[in-house]
Amino acid sequence: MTTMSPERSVPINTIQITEKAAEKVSKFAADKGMEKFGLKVAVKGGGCSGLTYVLEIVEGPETDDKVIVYHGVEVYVPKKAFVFLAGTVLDFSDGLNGKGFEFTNPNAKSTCGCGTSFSV
Amino acid sequence: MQTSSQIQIDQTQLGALENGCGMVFWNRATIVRHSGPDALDLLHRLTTKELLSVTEGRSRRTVLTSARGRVVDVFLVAHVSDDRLLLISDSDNSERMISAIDRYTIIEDAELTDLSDSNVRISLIGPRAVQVVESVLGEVVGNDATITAEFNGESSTIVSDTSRGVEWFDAICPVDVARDLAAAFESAGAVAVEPDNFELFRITRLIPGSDREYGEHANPIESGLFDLIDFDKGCYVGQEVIARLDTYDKVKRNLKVLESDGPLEAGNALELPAESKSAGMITSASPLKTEDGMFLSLGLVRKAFLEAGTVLDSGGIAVRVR
Repeated sequence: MTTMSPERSVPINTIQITEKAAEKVSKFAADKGMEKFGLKVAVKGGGCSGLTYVLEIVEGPETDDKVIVYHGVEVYVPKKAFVFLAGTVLDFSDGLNGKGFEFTNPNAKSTCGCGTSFSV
Repeated sequence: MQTSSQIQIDQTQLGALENGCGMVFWNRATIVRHSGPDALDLLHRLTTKELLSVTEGRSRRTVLTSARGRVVDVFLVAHVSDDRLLLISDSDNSERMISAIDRYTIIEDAELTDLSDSNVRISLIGPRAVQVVESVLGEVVGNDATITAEFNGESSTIVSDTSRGVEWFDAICPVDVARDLAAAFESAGAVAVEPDNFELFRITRLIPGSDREYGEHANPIESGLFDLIDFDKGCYVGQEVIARLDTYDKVKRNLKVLESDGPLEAGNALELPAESKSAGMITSASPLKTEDGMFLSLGLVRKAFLEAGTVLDSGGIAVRVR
């Protein structure tokens, strides 16, 4: 049986990026002239709530990264960070009131006002 | 058994702290090595002070707060060498600092090593402390500087800390050479200060102490640590709560020196006389009677009672706010 997160029905053994987020990642990579690229999604210490999301367009995975593919974009998640991100959905909201990349993380007990950090 | 009236103020020791060089030998303090290329950046993201400008050979004191904005620990970050920091705290609970930082170490290349048992902390305090250090180790330690010096064939780290409002240097050395180093400091003019006299000095100078004025029971603003917060540095753990406390003037207590005719007890409540209304709490209490015949304490006093001369009550003893 696959356990699903309550909010977006994402299996807890993966993370997902939406089609819109994948499009934006591809556009940013193209703007940088990168033909081979992937999206590194990680967590580091810091921020108002203690843990901060890391997003970075990189050329390829590192040795300990888990690799997931969504909408043609490779997503690299360091194994140490995966426990904090399992079941997460990465979306993108644009427009004047858009917040840019947005995380919906079922592991987050609380999130800071700007949404870039969380606690578990 | 020694009672409070039998404990005497040692004017030589207090005089050294105020006008010469007093030496405090810590039974145990938190001494932690934080090494790795991400160590400084991680601490910058976790604590209240801007730390990225603490380059090699520099030091800065900072506050680690919880997500609720309460004080976990206050420590000096001494940048000893390229990827190596020394974290020095007044707390005797090194595990608390280590577990709090370790909890937020995820992908960072940084490692914590507890040196609290293998090393000793000796603090030199007072306007002549810098000369005592120079006399013994042959080095002048500038403000907020960190140096490594040889003594008896062992490396010791000397760190200047300007955050306490007095001239303050911490010497961190291996246990094996600590007694000899302390003796050398004494020969150079430092006066060994006993805990009760140091406590009185700390109270008089409004220097907050670990697990007394600050700790999980208080936020850093009310604990007298306002100057250890950089309000324009950006996010750190607890930043939203602390910024809100300051912006909306929500801090309910302030740290004050208190006078009484009898000795008080830390942890006891402060109340309005003849009423059960809480006015705060005693956080540190000196058992020493001053020349004026008073006993001095520190307390977190509610804002309505901060005016000098306000009379409060603690366990039946009249307490005056200084």
